[in-house]
Amino acid sequence: MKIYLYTDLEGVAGVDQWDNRASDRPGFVGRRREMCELLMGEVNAAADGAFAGGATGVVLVQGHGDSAVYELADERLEIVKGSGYSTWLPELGAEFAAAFYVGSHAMGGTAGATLAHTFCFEDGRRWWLGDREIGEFGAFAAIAGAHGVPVVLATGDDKLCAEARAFVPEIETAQVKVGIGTNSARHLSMRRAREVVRMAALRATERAARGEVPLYRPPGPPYVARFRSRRRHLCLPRTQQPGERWLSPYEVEFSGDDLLEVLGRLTFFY
Amino acid sequence: MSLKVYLFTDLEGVAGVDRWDARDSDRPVDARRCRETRELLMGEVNAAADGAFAGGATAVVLVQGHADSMIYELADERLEIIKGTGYPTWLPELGADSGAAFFVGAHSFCHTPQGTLAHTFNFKKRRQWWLCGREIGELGMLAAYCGAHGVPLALATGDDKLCREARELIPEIETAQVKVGLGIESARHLSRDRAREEVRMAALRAAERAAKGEVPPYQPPGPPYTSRVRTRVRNLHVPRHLPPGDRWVSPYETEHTRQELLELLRCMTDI
Repeated sequence: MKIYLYTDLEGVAGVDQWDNRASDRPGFVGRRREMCELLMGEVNAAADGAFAGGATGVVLVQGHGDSAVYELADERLEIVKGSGYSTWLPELGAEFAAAFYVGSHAMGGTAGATLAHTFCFEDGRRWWLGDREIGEFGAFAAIAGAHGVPVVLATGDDKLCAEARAFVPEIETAQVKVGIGTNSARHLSMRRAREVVRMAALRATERAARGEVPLYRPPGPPYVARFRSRRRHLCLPRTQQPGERWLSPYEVEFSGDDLLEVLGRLTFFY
Repeated sequence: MSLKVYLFTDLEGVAGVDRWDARDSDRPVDARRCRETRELLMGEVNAAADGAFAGGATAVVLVQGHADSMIYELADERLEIIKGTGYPTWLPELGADSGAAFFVGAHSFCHTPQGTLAHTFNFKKRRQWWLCGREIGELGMLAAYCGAHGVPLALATGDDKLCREARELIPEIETAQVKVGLGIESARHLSRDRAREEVRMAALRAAERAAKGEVPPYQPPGPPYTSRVRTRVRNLHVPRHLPPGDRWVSPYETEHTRQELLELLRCMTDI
């Protein structure tokens, strides 16, 4: 039983400020390292819970750029990291029995959610799949579902946990903080947060083994994904592909019968 | 019997701290000192939390007051931690469910002679507050917000001037004096571990006294409630035409009158 353990940074307990990777300020260098160490603590807690729940292999996949601290990873993990992946979710495939999403955050526009955004905060990006707005969690669940992999665990703030249960009611969640505003939260302490993550991962693995968590399957085919941002995409009509329709300079639709292709275009569109 | 403690923090009143927080500085030496300062704060915070639990508190919520001052991973595991920037209110999640409030690392108000790092909200503007005729600083403001929710402020920690300010406002309050102010940027400090022990013991007594109902919530006289806000610079952020109940006393000073105390306090902290 193999687990695909995907990560992000914003949903980790203790994190409530944006990760400004470009900053060279001496004060920020230390903060960034602290954030990544907090992430690794929750990742290892999730992996430990997964093994305790019966997993035979866990592959850690770095979602947030340059956030995995390799030498802090549990030795039982394989670690996928780097930059310039060829897809948003590298190596995801049918050999995985279940997927975890650790450190995830609510979709753009969620009221009171800590660091809520959809892929990019600066351009106010939003995604829809069919009639339903989705964030990174929804896209993750849909892509995993198309590979035949159920998402059995999500960890983050209270808003993210509610979002995850709205897509997958049977999912296990670990709520490690309560969002107060975009840049503030009431956090569990570090050790308690890790314990909550570990226990949820254990339960999630056991439930996955019993087949209790269904795949997330959006209605279709055909599938229609919509992308909107505040940025004008002037160059794009030149590169327009079949199945692509511009609703305005800020809004584009991708449609097709292959869900993975539609979502691949949505998540790779800048 | 449950006792939840709202543990609010600032930075300037912590033992060992006698310089302004250089958190906006890009110098590596300031980054290092900023980290040390934050570590000292976390030590006193954990001492206060430990004392509170020893004194019967069933939950302690730590609330970061001074921007970007928490070191999350050093917080006592029994705490919940409110931190971040851009809170919707100055005191997020403060409510009647708290049995007592603590103020750790507090400092005296603007212009207090020999108060270490004395200021009221903004040192550069030399802001000053009066609430119902009495000059208050951040401690008085916290006490008034808490009092409006029926919550007593049971502990204040900081230098001798801050402790005196706290007792003048709330005679029943417990204080932990961790340093003696000598000037705006100097003090005679207790050693680190002694300061933490002072904070721990005072927090223990404060939790016990709060549980016994011995510390009253602070209530300024009113309604109506009046306040004044003064700065040494013209306050350009305040609209020239103020809403009813507010007026300009001078280009440097506004006066506010409200029937609701919380509404009045928000006028003062939101300027």
